[in-house]
Amino acid sequence: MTIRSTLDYLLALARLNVRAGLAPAGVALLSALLMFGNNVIFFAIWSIYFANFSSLRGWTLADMAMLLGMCEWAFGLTVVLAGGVRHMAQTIVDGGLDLHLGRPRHPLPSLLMSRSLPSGLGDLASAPVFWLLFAGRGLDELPLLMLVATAAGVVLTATVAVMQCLVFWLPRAVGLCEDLFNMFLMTAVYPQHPYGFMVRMLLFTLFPTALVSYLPVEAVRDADPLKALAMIGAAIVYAGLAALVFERGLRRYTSGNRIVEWR
Amino acid sequence: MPNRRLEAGAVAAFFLLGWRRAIAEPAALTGRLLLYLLILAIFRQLWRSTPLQELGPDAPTAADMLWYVTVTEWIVFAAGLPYRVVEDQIRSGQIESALLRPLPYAAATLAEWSGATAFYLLVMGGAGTAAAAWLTGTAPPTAAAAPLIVASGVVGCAIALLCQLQLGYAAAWLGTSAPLFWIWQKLLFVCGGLLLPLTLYPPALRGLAEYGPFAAILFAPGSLILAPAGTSVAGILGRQVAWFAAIALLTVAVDRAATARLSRRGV
Repeated sequence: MTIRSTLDYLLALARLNVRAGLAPAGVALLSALLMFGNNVIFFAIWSIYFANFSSLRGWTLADMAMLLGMCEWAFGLTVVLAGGVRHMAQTIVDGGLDLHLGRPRHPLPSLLMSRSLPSGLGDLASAPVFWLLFAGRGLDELPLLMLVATAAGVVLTATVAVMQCLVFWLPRAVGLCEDLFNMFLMTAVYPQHPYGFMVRMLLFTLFPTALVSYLPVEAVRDADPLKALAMIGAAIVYAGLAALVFERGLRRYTSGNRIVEWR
Repeated sequence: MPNRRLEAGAVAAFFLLGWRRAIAEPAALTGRLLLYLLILAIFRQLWRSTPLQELGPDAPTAADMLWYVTVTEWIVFAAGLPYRVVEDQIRSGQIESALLRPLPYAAATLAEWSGATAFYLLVMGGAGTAAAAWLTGTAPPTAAAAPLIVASGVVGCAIALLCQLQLGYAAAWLGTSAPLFWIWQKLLFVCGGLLLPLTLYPPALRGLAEYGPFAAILFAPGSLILAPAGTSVAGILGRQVAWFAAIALLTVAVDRAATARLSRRGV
């Protein structure tokens, strides 16, 4: 298996996944539009906050807009391209992994790309609006913004995948996986710089929301190539960690006898 | 008359079913509690980092603001996201059998949700009060108004449940309810004053939001905990009851339209 054939396979998976997610087109468009509106309305809370207060420990409305844009891009990318990650735990518990294990390639990519949520397109569309319009960043900064936000998306996908793999060891923890995911998102969309040292350490490692929102924002704010590189490094490390945890978990997987559904 | 008594008995049975189901799902309760406590911890830090003194000499303290968020988030977490049940039943077709029951679908659903919400209000109210007292190191600013806050919170939750039933029914037309729910939820957060009291809003937006339905759900009970002397509690509760009545009437209309559509065209 060459790198070229692997890339072709991943591209084909992504194409099929997104095409399936966009059907029916009317519902997909409505979902995307309303998600865009949802993001703009949520931003109003911060507009009101900064209309009352000059800053939040040095952060202004523009920084918040950039943070929300990062989260939107990362989350949008995750649910559009790898929407299966949200349902991994349920799939594993139901024995649905059989369908992916029967294929000649590694099961993780096809499992992640087994679903696509069209609402994520609304997130992807709103991120550049937040960066350029609300945060006042220039068009020349867009490549850097997209680079670090994409790395944040990889960290998000990988972290959620690790959380969902919990059910390999705790089969009754499907609800807990969903709660952990919600907690992760909830922490990511609020500024994290006011936290103390210990909490921030936690947010950079075990519960890496800082790598999804705080560090990417700081990389652009400070125009710091080291922070941007750290983001790319974090994406590689967390992706590798997710693959490792998934493979460890697979050893404990018991077939659900759903191989007959494979086609 | 016996029919009415039977209906009331069925509604009570659904209420109890909701209550018992909520008790029987400790994992769901734990998840909600953890999320609730996490948001309180986040806001403790946020308000402590906010230059509240910029609001002037009568500015609320960070502790006051956390108590406010404790009340508004209490309502949001107690009500939860039950619209998904109606959406799932419509999308899966299960609603067809539910519509055949002698008790109207809306009444049964709302009764069951009310039972679960009552349980969550009780447990999360206790946990939220304990957590806020621990995080702020203070008692609620207007502890004497606790019974009024509870009553106002119950009415707020009731309005939220009615809205969620209507949002669930939206799947009968759109095939999905989630996108509409996101918009409703974010309007609730902004116009209801989930995180910031409406008193901090620009005058035009405040005037618009304060008399709207979203404020009746969140800001009304939240404002009672910050209420300065002379606040008209009767006015706040009266507005809530008026919105409850208006949204209940709207729910009846949406229920009729949705069940008629489902009966005529199927799912």
